[in-house]
Order: sequence, then structure tokens, then C-alpha cells
Amino acid sequence: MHELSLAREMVRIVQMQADSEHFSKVKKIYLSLGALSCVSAESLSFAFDAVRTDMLKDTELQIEKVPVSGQCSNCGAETEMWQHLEPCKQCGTEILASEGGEEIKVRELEVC
Amino acid sequence: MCGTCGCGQPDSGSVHSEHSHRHGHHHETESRRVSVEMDLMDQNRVYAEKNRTYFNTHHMFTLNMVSSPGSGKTTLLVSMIKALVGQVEVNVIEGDQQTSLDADRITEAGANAHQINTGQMCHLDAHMVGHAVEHLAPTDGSFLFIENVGNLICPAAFDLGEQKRVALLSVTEGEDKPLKYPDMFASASVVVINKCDLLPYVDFDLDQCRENIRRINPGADIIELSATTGNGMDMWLEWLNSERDRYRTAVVEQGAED
Repeated sequence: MHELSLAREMVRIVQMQADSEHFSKVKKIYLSLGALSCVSAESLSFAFDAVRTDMLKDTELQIEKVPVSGQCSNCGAETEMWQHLEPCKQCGTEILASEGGEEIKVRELEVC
Repeated sequence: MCGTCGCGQPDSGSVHSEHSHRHGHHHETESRRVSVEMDLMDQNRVYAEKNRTYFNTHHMFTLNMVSSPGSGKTTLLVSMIKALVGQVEVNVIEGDQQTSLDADRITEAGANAHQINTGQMCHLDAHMVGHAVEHLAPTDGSFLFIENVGNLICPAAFDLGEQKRVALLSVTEGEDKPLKYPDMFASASVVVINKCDLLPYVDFDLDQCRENIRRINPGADIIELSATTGNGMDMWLEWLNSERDRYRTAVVEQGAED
């Protein structure tokens, strides 16, 4: 349930943007969510509903889940990882996550 | 004056949309894209780095202890404090949803404790820890243990500025936990398997548990002990002291270079 803290942080970031970019309504938030971010997209959407401000009353939260690339220690092939210990697409060896996949990033806003 | 919004710009009729982007505000009907590129964890990372810098400047070896509720974090801490007290100052930040019961146990054992009640929050963040350190006012070179909220999911995402993350697992929980909660075990520097005195009474495959930890985190140290009976505590204290020595040597060298 740390999604609630994250939803509040998202509202704070949007408010900061509203102050500097002078908008009063947000149509869409584009957020990218790394596969190893420990965040559930469904919980984040649910938490966002709980903390919407006036400016975000009708905002659509569009979450794009993003995989991380992992290299197989056995055959060297690159595999898109959607979770820890994803099997290598070539030889089936479990792949350990190295770097990345943790992003929870507000990429862009559609505002008016 | 603009007839669409009354903003003081000349009303240019059909070309109204062309001036709307240039005079500081925008009309409801017209949308535009604003690039943000900010991560929701950025602020926590900033506070975590601030904490880490503080710990390094003050040579404070800091551990973030994570586990599910009831794995024995507080019992292990009490046992450690009793062994360390008199040799080195021990500071503990206790994170719980409610009560100061854990901080009371820690203080009774001889350490300085500060309780954070997280209320509805399921984890500690770096900002809370920074303020707790201010309250504790620790001495340079002392130990700092952060006992996180009992939860194997959420605390994994929050760097607190610690040097090492300790994941605890007790033999009453099942050997498959490292695979069921991979984020937490993948991010740990050391895994402590606690309550080993109960092994004869529970269905827990120790070899399988070690294997599961290695699958998700081959580099993690694994220490088996019972914080209640004290069996294996010598191994844990040895790990703790040698890691602290290594850390202090590194920060002193770093300080000399700077």
C-alpha cells in the first residue's frame, strides 16, 4: 500500500508543474512503471482516486508498464524481464535483475 | 480585449488560438502537452543521499532491518544491544504503525531509541529517518539500526541511506519466502534466518531456504541463528563488526582523500 504515498507524490509533482506552467486542469497523466518497481498499477490508480484534487477531478491516469532488459548468465541472450527470475527466452535459465526497471515516472501531462 | 477569455490581449478572432500560448494562461478547450520526466521516488532518493552523506561524515554504520511482522527483528536487536553495550553507542530507529512498545524494549536493553509511528503508512521513508536521526543526536562512530515496519513488500522500494540492508526470515515462515517476495530478498546484503531453535518442531527445509535465497540473490551473506537462545549470535556479531570495520576504514580513507 505504499501506492498511496506515491499517489500523493504524483499530485505534488503535478501541482508544482501547474504553478510553473500555468494550467488549471489536467486531462491526462502519462506515467511509466518499471517491471521491478514494487508497484501495482491497479493499486496506484485506486490510490490516485483517493487523493484527486480539483484540478485532477477528471484526469485519466495512463500507466505504461515497461520491462527491463536482462542478460542471461548462461548463453548471453537478452530477455525482456517482467519479473524477477524471468526465464531466458533462449535457454530457460533464470535471469537475475541487474540494473533498472524501478522507474515510476511522470513523463508527460496533457493539460489545459 | 480578448473576447474569448477577457485577458487583455487583442481579440484576433480566428487567430485567437495563436496568441493563447503566449500570454501566460490557457483556455479550457485547448489542450497542450507538458513534459515532466520526474520519478515519484526522486524525492526519497534525495533524502536518502542526504542521510547517507550525514552517516558517512559521522562514520555511522547504518543498517536497515526488514522482515514480515513477527520474524524477530526486535528480539535480535535486543540481543545485539546487550552484546554491544559498553563497547559502542547503539542507536535504534523503530518503525511501527502504532505504540512505542518496541522502542521501550530497546531503551531497556541499553540503546538510544526513537519511535516513529507511521499511522497509515506501510514503510519508513528517508525523510522520516532524517528527522528521527535529528531526535537521536547520535555520537560520531556509533551504530544506527533502523527497524523498518514489518512488511516484505513496500519497504523494499525505499532507500533510507543505509549502508546495508538486513532481511530477516524465521523458520516458522516457510522456506519459499525469498521467492514469494523477491524484491526484498534481492535488495538485501545479508539474510538472517532466525528462530533456528524451533527447527526440530517445524516443517522447514533449511537447505532449500539457502538455495532459494541464492537463486534470487547469489551475493547475499546468510546467517542462521536464534536470537532467543543466543545460538549463532557470535556469527552475526562477527559479521556486524567486520562490516562496520570495513565501512569505517572506507569512509576514513574517503575523508582523507577529500
